[in-house]
Amino acid sequence: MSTYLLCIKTVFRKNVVFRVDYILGIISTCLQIFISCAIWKALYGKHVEINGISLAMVTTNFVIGLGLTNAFRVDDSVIQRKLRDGSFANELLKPINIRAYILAENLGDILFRILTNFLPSFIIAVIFIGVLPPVDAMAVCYSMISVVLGFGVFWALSSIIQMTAFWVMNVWSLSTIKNVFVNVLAGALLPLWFMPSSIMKIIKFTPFDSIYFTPVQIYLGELSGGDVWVYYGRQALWIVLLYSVSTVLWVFGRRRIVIQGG
Amino acid sequence: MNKPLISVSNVTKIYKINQRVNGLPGQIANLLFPKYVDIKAVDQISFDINEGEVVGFIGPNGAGKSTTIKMLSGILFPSSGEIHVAGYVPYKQRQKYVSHIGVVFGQKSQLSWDLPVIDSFELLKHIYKIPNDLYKDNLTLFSNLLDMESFINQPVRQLSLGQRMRSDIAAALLHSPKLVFFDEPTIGLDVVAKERIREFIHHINKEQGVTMIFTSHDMQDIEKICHQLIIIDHGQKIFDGDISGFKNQFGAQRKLIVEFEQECEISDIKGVTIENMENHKKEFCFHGEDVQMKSLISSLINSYEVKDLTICEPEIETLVRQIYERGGHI
Repeated sequence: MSTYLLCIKTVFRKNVVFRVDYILGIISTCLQIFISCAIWKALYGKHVEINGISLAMVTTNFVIGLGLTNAFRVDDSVIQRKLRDGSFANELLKPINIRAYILAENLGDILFRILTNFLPSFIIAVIFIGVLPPVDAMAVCYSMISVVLGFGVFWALSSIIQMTAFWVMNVWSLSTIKNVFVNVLAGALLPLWFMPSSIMKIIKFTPFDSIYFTPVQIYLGELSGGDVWVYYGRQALWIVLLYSVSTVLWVFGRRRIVIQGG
Repeated sequence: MNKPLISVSNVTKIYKINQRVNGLPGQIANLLFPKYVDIKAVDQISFDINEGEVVGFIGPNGAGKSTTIKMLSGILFPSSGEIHVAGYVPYKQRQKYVSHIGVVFGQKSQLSWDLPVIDSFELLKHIYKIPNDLYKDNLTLFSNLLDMESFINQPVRQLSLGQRMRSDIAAALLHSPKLVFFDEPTIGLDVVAKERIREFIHHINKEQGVTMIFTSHDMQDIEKICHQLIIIDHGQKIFDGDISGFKNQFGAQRKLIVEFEQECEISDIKGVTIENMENHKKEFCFHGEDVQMKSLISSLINSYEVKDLTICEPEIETLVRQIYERGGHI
């Protein structure tokens, strides 16, 4: 365990070095939030509510959703890269769980971005755009748990793409397809309240809305009491399902690796 | 008879290679219906290695050495056959197994490019969970034997090849593994550096009884370090035994070079081929079983005016070259 904690710490420390990088990151996240909010402000015009959804709710959705989108970034090509440069062989020679190690690397990155990108952008957005306060103090805690689970879903999904590197030499196209689905169906481009109900029915059977939208709904109090636990359960189920798929790919992929270069 | 540390039986590794076709129509057809060819990198290999042995594993480029080493170290899955090392099946119990072995790839460093050597060692200490005392002992021992104090605080990218190789070897041995694989550890090194590495390997094997498997194209490495020799070619094992056995089996051809006082004609001797060289020298080649060296020399001295004699013992390098050139068919 200590090895993996050490890895999280090392990645975190490695990130701290690139100061310009995280300042630009904050600016980029803030710009995305401001632009989306400005568009929706224009769309709302004089309306206070559309379909029972207020502009403030939409804004809050974007601040949290886009904020998390920028924090949750998992390198889909990590295994592809290791296979290409041959470092995968070196890692196989270490008594470590390689997938846990990759997760630890990802967690180091995510923790870093939550602290240096999500939180500053959130504070800036609260000051300059205004965000709805959470319905109550408990909702903050509940939605934070949901954020962690949401990350789990997102990571497991990316992990599947990572594993495809055993079959395809370039995972870029698969990764792009996945990102399009996540952007559209997870509510980062269009808040899921405005999705046509027919599409929404389909989305309910996909993992995508459990990534960003569930935490937002809990924060806003749209889900409360027993519902919260049902949605946690849904998130957990998706983690288990997607992770199992990734495990199967890992087991079969490991058998067919060819070490590049001698 | 103890159970061997490594036992390999009927191991085969097949690579599927996409057969590419030239020309656009062929390439499009290949895109839609790819054709694969099976390449047998390792073909039905079996051998045993006992604890404490140093084994030279040699063969020409592309013979399947590295593939075998990678299967033994748990990186690759064999297509068929069984491998048991120290009670583990390497590819199935990889995570547990690899803490008992060390691997040195001469062509690839295992150390972090940007970190000072000592930092990489510290990282390995964590990864292998090396107890503090053992770590300190090994570090002192290796930095003395391999003379590493002067560069241990430098980043790996600033090291010379010899320094990097020494660091890599120390890194592979830090956790006191039972078994170490060396894949061309002396490649590209100068004579002094090679010698130092050979001495170190010899020392570690003698003092700690570490079992070692060694691939190299430098036959001096093999001759100086190894007890046992395994030769493979085209994925098949063609020799397995000790070095003197190897010389007996393949080195039956002996050679005598004689310098005569003056040019002379030598009548045919049964079983000996004679070749003329410059300066009244002649080369006599024969098989040890057919002709006795002693009787040949005495008959030459009695019949001709001999100025000088040189007996050429078979060198491993020459023998191995002959085997490679024959393409593995003995």
